Amino acid sequence: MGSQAQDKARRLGGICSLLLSSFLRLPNEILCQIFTCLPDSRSYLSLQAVNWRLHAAGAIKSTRRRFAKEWFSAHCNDANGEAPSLFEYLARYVRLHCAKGTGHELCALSTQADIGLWPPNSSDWPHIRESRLKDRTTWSWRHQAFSGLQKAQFSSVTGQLLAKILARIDASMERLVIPKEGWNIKSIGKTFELPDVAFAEAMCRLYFERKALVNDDYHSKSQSDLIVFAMYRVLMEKQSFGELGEHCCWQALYITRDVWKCGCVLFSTTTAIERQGLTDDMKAKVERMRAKREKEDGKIPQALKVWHIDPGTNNCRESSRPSS
Amino acid sequence: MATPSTQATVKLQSNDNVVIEVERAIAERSVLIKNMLEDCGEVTDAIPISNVNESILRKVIEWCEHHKNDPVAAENENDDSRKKTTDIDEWDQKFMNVDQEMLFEIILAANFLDIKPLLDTGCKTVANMIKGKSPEEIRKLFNIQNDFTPEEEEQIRRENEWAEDR
Repeated sequence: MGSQAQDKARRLGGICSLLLSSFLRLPNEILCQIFTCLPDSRSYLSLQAVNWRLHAAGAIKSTRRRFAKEWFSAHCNDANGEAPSLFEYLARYVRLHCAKGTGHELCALSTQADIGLWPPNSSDWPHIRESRLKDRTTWSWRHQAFSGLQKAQFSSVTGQLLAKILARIDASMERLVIPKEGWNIKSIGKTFELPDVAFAEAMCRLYFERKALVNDDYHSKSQSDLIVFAMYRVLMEKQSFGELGEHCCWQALYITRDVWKCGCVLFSTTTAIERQGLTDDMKAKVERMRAKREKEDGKIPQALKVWHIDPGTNNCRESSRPSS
Repeated sequence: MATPSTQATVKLQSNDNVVIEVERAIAERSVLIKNMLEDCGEVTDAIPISNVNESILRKVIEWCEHHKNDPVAAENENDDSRKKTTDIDEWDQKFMNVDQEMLFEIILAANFLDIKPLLDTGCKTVANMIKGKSPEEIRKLFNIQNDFTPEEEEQIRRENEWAEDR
């Protein structure tokens, strides 16, 4: 069928649909608002795949970003008993490390390539940059951090899904223009899109799979303990330790510790004292793990940097780095 | 600028010419009516609500009556304020338990009258109806014709592959 004939048929179909469906009598701005109220990324994609008009409404960037923003606000909140805000933080974290270019201007996680981190300045490392572009799966931080989860037996389906979602985010970041102020853990949330919601949903799935297994212990914990505890159990439980891979467990510990240290998405629900307490708690856990590993075989995975919030600018910075 | 009015009730006229008298405080849940009353001061004539028929107007007034004491959201509400829940209030759920035609008419009326919380509730209700359904099920639910060609459908399926479990 030629494209003109297709267009004609589509217009006719559109008119018929308008006559038949009261739903399609809603103006575009309301259709966009309905998209933003949807409870998950699957429903979003399903509605978009219904017909051309809905496909166009759902493809609008502002609609997709508003959906992501609403979803994180409504679902990733420590106060409402659903998924903890840790997942919003993780989504930001993944974005940060998938960012094209230097990507670390304000958050400054690393000035050297740590475990799995992309080199911050690609001009210094052209061969790595080239190989990263050819094969993202081996050079990106997110591959390193989540590869264990993708292999884990209990989450093989979720793990494969995670891999696809992360590849999608990775590819989309390559097309993004770097903002003048650079990426930081706060501003990165403005780029959230459908795949970020899907990523957080997949992480939630893992979290609740594990939560169901440890339900008895879970009830005795306070809300703030719960997040650390559940994340710890998701990734650290003895029976799956071997399957997950040690690297992944360490990353989880470091990330969880950094969440409390940085507090980027937790300001609304936790006090500074509470965050400090949890940071110390995680620090102690890391040290205990470190001591245990040292005793066993002496191999210690390298830590991610600890962040500070600069009270003046509210930006994150590496603890060892002087505030500019 | 008009002097502030102290009138207790206002008359609203639907597009099928039925006049309904309501408390001013209730009518003012509509930002459109509120602004109109503020601009015009005392209004003795019925205000024409040209896009809304009697049954829908009564339904909207019923909602406004129930929610007349709800705090009004600030005009420049901080976009970053974290929402606590996406749930719909039990009373609102019952209120929205109407046929599709009426549901969409309520949404259109809320949009026209600028009653944001009612519009939000309407959109959430529709979103809940869509939740977990396949494109084909949504088409059936809302009687929508599939205007994609098989090639386009295949392309969309490929575009969405990243979100599939398999």
